[in-house]
Amino acid sequence: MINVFINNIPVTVPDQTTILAAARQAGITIPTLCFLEGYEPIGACRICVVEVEGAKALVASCSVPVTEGMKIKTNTRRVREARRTVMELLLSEHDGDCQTCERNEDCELQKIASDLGIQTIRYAGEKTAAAIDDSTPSLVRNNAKCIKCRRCVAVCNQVQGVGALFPQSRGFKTVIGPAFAGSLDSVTCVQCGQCAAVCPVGAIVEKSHIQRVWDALENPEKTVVVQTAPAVRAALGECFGYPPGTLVTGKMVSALRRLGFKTVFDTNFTADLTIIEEGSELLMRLKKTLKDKEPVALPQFTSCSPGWIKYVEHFYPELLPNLSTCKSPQQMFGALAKTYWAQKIGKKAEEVFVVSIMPCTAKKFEAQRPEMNDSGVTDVDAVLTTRELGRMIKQAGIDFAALPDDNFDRVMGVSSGAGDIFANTGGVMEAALRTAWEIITGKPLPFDKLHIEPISGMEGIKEASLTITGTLPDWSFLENVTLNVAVSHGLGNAQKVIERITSGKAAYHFVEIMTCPGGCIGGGGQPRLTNDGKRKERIKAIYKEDEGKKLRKSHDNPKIKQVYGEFLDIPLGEKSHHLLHTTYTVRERV
Amino acid sequence: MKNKILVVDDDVDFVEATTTLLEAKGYDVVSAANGEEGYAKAKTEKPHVMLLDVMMAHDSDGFDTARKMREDPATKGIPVIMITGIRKSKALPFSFEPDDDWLPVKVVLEKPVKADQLLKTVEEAVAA
Repeated sequence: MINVFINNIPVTVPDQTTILAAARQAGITIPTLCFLEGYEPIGACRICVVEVEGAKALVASCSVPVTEGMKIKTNTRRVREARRTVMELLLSEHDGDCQTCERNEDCELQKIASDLGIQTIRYAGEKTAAAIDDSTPSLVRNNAKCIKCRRCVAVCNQVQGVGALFPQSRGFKTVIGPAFAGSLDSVTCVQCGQCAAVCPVGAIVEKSHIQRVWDALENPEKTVVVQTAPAVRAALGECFGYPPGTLVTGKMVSALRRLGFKTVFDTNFTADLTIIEEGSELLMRLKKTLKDKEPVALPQFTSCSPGWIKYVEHFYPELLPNLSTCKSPQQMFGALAKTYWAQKIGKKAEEVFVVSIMPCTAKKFEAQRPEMNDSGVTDVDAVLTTRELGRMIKQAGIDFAALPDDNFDRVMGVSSGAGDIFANTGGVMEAALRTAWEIITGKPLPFDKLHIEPISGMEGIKEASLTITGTLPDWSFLENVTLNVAVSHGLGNAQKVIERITSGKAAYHFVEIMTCPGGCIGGGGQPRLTNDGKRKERIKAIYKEDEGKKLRKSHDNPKIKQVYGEFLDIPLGEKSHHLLHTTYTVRERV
Repeated sequence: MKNKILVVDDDVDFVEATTTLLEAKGYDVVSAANGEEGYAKAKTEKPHVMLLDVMMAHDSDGFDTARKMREDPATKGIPVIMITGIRKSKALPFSFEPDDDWLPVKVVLEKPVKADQLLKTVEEAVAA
């Protein structure tokens, strides 16, 4: 342990603690812009400078560890002046159209400028020229707002291993962007939006579909239906000041109805459907290899996360046969809403307008993939992030806190707890095993509360082995077979899992990959600023939602039985094949 | 007067065996080989209970027939016992249950059904 004095207050912290962390522990606020909890310090912005006795220059508190007896001052005239200068220089080149900026009142630069009491900018510097990149379906970048903090670079390279964004040139000429000053659609960007989720200002935002949705709601020729992804209910409350991990399912449904959606359905319903299809697909692959001795691609990878899909298409096209052919729940929903549900209400596919509320920016990309039109028209018409839904609710003047709880409409709105846990890392695997195990053995998954402990939680790569016993006669070829599964989140971790597989270090049967750290609850479209603490709170909320449900397994969902009985016929059948399954595209690795 | 049971199934052996069983217990038995014929006979024969298979003329024939019967005031009062082998023949990961929204039947039994279970279910349906 190290003993230091911060503003004369004695503080004891573990070895290697940074000055910033020590100060926070002592209840002292130091402003930061480039610092991101849980990451290597970036040290680019210099707003966190402090005075250390004996040091000639001010030091960046985010990157300097404490030493025994260190005397630190965070609030001297010299410190205040230095921070003001840093801030004024940033503001002198920042495109500060705050009133009309999407991040107005949700902007870290604005907040710190206000905290520092900046009222004039002494440096009439040259403004960075606006260079708006709206080349992708999901994200919009505006370099004129970029403060070059490099958070986006850190998440894109360190966490996701995608490498779409880099700092280029030096000094005032520095720009952050894709290689060779290209546009985002010219590189391997997977549209996960983790960059937008960490950007302290409005330099990277989602491509808004809010106007598209208002237009549809006001169009008398459209029947508008909305689906909400499992992760949204555990985070939307944060847009209205609720603590992270507050479940607002009922208020969310209420808010959607007040926005004008006559029918409110749940993506959890098609999450349950995904389990039936994807679980059946896994069992079919296992049967092929173990019983029929036919060649088959294993492990099977989950396919719910569109960033992960695009990542494989760019970086590992040889693994495309390993991806489950199941569409994501969002796309299964769109295809069914415009066929199964449209038939029920006597409408044609083109008269139905499907809106998704997603914790994700890549879902905007997924919705416009050319193959996602199996209903005959685009299956999902608009995708709002959790943040956009929050903004729409505010635009409509709805007092969220005062809303009563409401329920989803039934036809495509009933779901099991297995659908809920799609929101977090380990959830799709657990949901699939809850069903597959019961198909094989006729008995429930033998774990406390049906939770598979080793594959839950925030560890980057998790593995489990389950030896199957007590199989039903049809599945006797699986008796005493040990099923090896792996779960990872964050594409950097996915890369490590793939390396384990291709190098022969691991032989899995089934692998769940979610693009974003923590899974969808940490998605690029969730309320800012997500850290591990918030991720854990949201995951806790999702498991609470799961455990609170009478239905815990996808195959028990009566509406799933109905959709098969009335419309789809059988899992992996002809209709399923046409509406619920998809194909993938080899993409260039630029 | 004897209680009348309508057996709707395209499996001739099942119809024959069930007829023998039910007649031995004193029921009058009429039969039909698909949903459409079953629905027509339900109207003319006015059975006390109907036994209904699922996969006949088409895969969801029985489901559709059950719904059609509920829509029609002439048949909606007839209790339907659904007897099906759909789960096994299609390797479904779930079984079907009566559902107000789409499967308006009294009970769903999975084939093969034991004789005493069938008789008990029919007895209860007649009594209700």
